[in-house]
Amino acid sequence: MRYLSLSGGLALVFSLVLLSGCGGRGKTDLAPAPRGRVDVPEWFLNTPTDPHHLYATATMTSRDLQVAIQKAQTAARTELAQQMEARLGNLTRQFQEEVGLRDDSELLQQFTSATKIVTDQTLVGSRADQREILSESGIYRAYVLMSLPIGQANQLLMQKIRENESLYTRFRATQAFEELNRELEALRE
Amino acid sequence: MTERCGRASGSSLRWSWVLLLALTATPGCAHRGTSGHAVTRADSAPAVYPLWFIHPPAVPTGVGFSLPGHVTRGPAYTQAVEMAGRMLAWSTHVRVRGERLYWRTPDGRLESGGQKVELLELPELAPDICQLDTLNIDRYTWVVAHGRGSVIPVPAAVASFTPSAPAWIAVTPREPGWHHALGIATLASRDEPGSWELATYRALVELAIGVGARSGDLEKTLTGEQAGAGRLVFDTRMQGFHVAARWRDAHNVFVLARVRADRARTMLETSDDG
Repeated sequence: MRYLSLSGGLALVFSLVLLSGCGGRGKTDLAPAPRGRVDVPEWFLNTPTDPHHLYATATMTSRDLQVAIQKAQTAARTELAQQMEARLGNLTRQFQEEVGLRDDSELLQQFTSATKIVTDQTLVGSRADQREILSESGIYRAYVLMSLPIGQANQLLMQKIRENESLYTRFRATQAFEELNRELEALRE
Repeated sequence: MTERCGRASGSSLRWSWVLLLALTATPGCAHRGTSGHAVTRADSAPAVYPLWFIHPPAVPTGVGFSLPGHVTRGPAYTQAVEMAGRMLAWSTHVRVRGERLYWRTPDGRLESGGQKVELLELPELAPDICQLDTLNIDRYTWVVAHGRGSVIPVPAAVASFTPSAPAWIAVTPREPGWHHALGIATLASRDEPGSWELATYRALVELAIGVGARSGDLEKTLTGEQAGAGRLVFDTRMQGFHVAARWRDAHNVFVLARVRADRARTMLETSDDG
């Protein structure tokens, strides 16, 4: 019906007035209106943790689905590399503190070069564990969860340290070695 | 070289009706999320696919198919054979070397700076080391190329892609001893074989990166902002790469590829690049 009659219009206005009085008296609901649900995957908000893997999430957009995923994966891989670098940096600092290398800068240099080799090879076995693709007005949004096994990096680091006998002898006496070795043992189980 | 030819017109007609009914029943289905993808076909797309195309055998093979529109079977066959040959070469032995560039905007977005990839050490596939099987379905000619020692029976069964996206698009399968990667390409309705080949190529490159890659920053701003450029370098040798599953919707084609971990090795440690 496109037009209301006069009586119909009055009835409608009267009804609205009546209905407006049905709520709580004098109280105004100041709560924000419920928003539309945001489809963010649960793993994006709560990144998994696992002693044998590093995890990183990223989200990117593009008009091309493959590009959206590729960009998100690249961003996540970059973060994984940074995590690995930070991890090895901590190990180096721990080694330095424990051994007291102020007088033996050559040994520290050897240790640093061993970790550098591992850092350069950080992304061995990286993979996109999960992905979620949403389409927003012709633009794809990709969420990805990438993982990187740390076992291979640990093995490579230990191998490089073992190649240097004097470094290995000093390293074996540290807590840093104990921790690294424990992780390697856990990997073998 | 052997050929097997089979027609599946009765079967394809039945599947066409099923597809038509499904499309009519779900007119409002857009591609929202991975689980909401609806299969709609361009007019030139195959109504049905060989079953072994949707669920490929777990051995390295090359699959090719022709565009419709060839007047005679000859050019169609040649086109399909060439594609199958390329796929089989990738499966047999390939070294994937390249780098992917990207740059970061100050607000943290990542923009693609392109990539350069070389496929090296590809074998020459002489007729004596591969066998071709042919299947004609409607206007399409399909060719499967088998490597030496991996010849498997190719049944003439046909099927359609499922309307809903398979689980492997959202969750990459985790199989001990295997690397998996997903390749996606926009569906070009006039060149569907090309779309599948591109998706397979992208899965191959993703696998190569997954096996081993070096991530490095090329520059950083002095102000400490996040802006900067970076690159991902990869150099991976693979044997036995093969497609594990395929799926398509109205807009994209998806390829899940895999390779055994002990048959894939990063060459970065010995490479001069870096």
